[in-house]
Amino acid sequence: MSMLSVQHLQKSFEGAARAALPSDATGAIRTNGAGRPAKRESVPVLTDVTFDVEPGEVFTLLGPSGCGKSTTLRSIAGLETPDTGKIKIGDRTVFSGSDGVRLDPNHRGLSMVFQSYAIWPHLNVFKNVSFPLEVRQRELKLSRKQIAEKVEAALHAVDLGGYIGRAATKLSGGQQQRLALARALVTEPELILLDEPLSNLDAKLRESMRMELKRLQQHLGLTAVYVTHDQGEALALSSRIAVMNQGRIVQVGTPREIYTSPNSLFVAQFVGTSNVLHGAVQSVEGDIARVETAAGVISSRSWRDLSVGDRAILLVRPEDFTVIDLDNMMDGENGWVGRIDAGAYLGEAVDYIADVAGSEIRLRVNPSEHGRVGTEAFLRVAPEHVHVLSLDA
Amino acid sequence: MVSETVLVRPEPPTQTPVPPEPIGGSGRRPRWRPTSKHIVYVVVLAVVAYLVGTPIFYLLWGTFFDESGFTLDAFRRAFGSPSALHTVWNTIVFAVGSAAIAVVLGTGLAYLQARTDVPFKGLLFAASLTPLVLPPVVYAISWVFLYGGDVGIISSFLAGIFGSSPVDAYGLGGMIVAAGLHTVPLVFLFMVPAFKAMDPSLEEAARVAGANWWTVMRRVTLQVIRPALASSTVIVLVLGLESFEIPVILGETKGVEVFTSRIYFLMHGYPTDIGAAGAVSIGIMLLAMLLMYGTGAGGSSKKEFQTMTGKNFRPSPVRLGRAKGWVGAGVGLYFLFSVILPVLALLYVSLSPFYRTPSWESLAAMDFTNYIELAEVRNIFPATMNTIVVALVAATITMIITTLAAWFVVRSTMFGRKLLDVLTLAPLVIPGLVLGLGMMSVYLRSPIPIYGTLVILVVAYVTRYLPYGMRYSASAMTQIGNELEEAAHVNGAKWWTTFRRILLPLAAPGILSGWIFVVLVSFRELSATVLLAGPKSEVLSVILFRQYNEGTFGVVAALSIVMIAILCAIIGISYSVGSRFGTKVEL
Repeated sequence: MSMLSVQHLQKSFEGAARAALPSDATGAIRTNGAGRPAKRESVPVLTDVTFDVEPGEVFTLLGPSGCGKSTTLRSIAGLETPDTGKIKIGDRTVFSGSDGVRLDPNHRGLSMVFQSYAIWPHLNVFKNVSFPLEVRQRELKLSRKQIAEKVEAALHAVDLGGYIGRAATKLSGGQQQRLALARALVTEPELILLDEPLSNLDAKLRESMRMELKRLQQHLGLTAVYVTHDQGEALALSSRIAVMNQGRIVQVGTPREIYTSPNSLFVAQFVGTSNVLHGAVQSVEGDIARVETAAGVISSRSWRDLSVGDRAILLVRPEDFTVIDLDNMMDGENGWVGRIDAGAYLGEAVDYIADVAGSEIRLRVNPSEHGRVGTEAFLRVAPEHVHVLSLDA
Repeated sequence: MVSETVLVRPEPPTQTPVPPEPIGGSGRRPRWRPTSKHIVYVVVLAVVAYLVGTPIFYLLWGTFFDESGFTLDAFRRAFGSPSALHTVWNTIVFAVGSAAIAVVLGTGLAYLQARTDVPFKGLLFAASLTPLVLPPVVYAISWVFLYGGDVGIISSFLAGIFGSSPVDAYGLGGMIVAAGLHTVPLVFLFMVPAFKAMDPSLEEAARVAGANWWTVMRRVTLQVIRPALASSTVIVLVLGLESFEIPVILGETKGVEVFTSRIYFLMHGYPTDIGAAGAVSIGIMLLAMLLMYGTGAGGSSKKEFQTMTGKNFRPSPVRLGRAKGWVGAGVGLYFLFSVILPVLALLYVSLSPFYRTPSWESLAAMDFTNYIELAEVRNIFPATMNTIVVALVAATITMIITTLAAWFVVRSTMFGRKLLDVLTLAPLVIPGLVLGLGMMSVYLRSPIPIYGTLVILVVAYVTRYLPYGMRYSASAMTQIGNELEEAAHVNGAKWWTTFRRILLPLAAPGILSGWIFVVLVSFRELSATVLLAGPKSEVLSVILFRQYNEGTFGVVAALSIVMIAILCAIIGISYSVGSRFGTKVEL
């Protein structure tokens, strides 16, 4: 049985919220057939959002600002109400549009880490963490000593053991973040929600907290729903990722699936960097599709739903290229000829920008490469790294 | 994340919890049961509606209906004379002029206090608030002592040099300056938190971008605090419209009449024309409403920016540098004229056995005659007790009601919360005299036997000061990030627990400040009290006004000094109590 099941969530904002939207979205009052003003035009925020989260999984909602990921998370928490749809936590229905079920957030038994941490400034470290236990005292019936033990354990888990009596506001950003985490862990919830928990930290700290989170999650066997706009974070932390755009889930898959076989231009460009080329499908034979591009024909082993003659988009990751001297090129190799226009040494790799028949292609190659800027070269790519999407399917 | 945070509207749950079992399909809707939140909401709404609704209803009734039924005759009596146009003009000039003085000085002082390294900060803070503890009637009288034509200490001194005095407390000019200076603390109180809550990195960013101090002030600071600035301007304008003691005392001798003094004379002339007084009141209320709702400053501070979030920052003060000395001197001069001289004048008069201009001789002859006389004034000791009790009780009730109401208005999506917002702010446009008149008619007829008791005063003060309590509570709450409440909610706290354990402690400084404010203004309230206090429920302001009318200036000055002392004591105690509970009171 899944830990969380979200089915067909729909939500739209009306009225006041429209002011914040681009002018084309703010329609005037429409009239229906009878000439009566109809309901004010509404703007969809969530459209048919459906997914399941399995126990022990970190499920990430990934997408750009305004894609609906936070709204989805807040709907699970009960802080917002979708118009229709259904949300089940374990076997409990916590929201159902059709049955009028709507549990208050405090009855959902969840924990949540907020983007701004939401550390209560009037309470010290201990009190911040003990709060969830204290307000659930009726169900939990813990003694003072038990509460103290649990709080200490939670603080230890996040390495804040020595800060127990500190004023919460005296903590640094990273410490506040861990405090927020301790507060979420102290009740040992079946499901924990994380709303961009790392976005307020600096890069170094973010990286180490990312590992910390992963370690904690695996150690405690947590089930989590994680919201972020940072694809690196999503890839590193998630069991599965749902990429969202404009209120819809565009693709769900493991980080590897999302990265290596994006199902749309949006996913390819949002997750990692992708080079985009246009072409037409020339032939499909077995698992090889051949696509005609401005710079020549190329083979792909990563495609679906193509038929001959389709207009197609080709996506290739920068790191999937190998740069070869034109002289060393062998017959039948897959790739394009391009002129290397610029290069940047990054230490762990070298980035090139190449011109391939007028298209700008980004390459990431072995750091030992150098001295190519200004020359022509063959950009080799294996057929399994050429992802082809049909524009006509 | 800009667009997302705009879209994500805080949506506190409004429905009842459902038992946490799986819901057995078949479209069975759970039965709706009111929760503690709904009950509290309905009670608050009902109480506010009763407090505000009844006096307005009786006021309208008394104005539009007489024995013969519906009539507009009251308006003809009130506005029919050619002098009425004069009255309207005077009212507007007076309100706008005094508001301009108050806003400019109040905002400037607040900026100095909150954001700069101006010298003697503590003193500046205390002194900025001093006019607040001077009841307006006392302030007006102190101005007469200082600048009142031939009797004023300064004006008669200047008249000796120039032939005639260039300054005069009497007349429109004197009224404007006196009322303006007297209202400075209100603006100061609204603006200090606004400046303090502002993230200084906004200004720093502008400085770094190449803007000079003045450009930063104009294009960043003033823009960010604009909501607070706009609403305090409107409130001060409305207060100017309703101001009663200063126009009556300083305007009367030169025949300068404004709406409130007209109401007062209509009520005290023979025969008392309550209908015409009501008609003038409606004039004030319309003007005030036009200001409030026309400028959009009426709504509770939802538009203000949330500035207290889970993250915190420590503002660093703006260095005044070489300007420090000049700014300090300017501030000092302001306090000399607005605070120190008036209080000294009161002290001098209270200690002089009879009224005369100061000289070595008169200073040597000072004694406590007036204070001894004061002690012999009828009812003075019970009245002192009454005043304190009524002010404390009224302030407490006001803050309880408005803290709850502010939550519903600012945070909830409850049905009718906008009505609640409008109702709590409505008393702002009801002049005290008019409220007193309305309540008099209500409780003379109603079976509730509170007329002539202290209870009716409490009811009047609570009604009158709902808008102020609301301002304090609402702005305290808008400064608390939603996520602090949401975090409690998600962690299992129900509405009341969240309210009590998260919101209340965080909003406590604001609420306590509001409480102190309501104590101060209740303590000196005169315009409604003068109609509602009976012989058994006398309070100090009424005794003061009676003594003034009887012309016993010495006793008036002595009583003024006593009242100021009591108010200072109340403030001091609240501060120390506040700090004992770890709450830093910020008035």
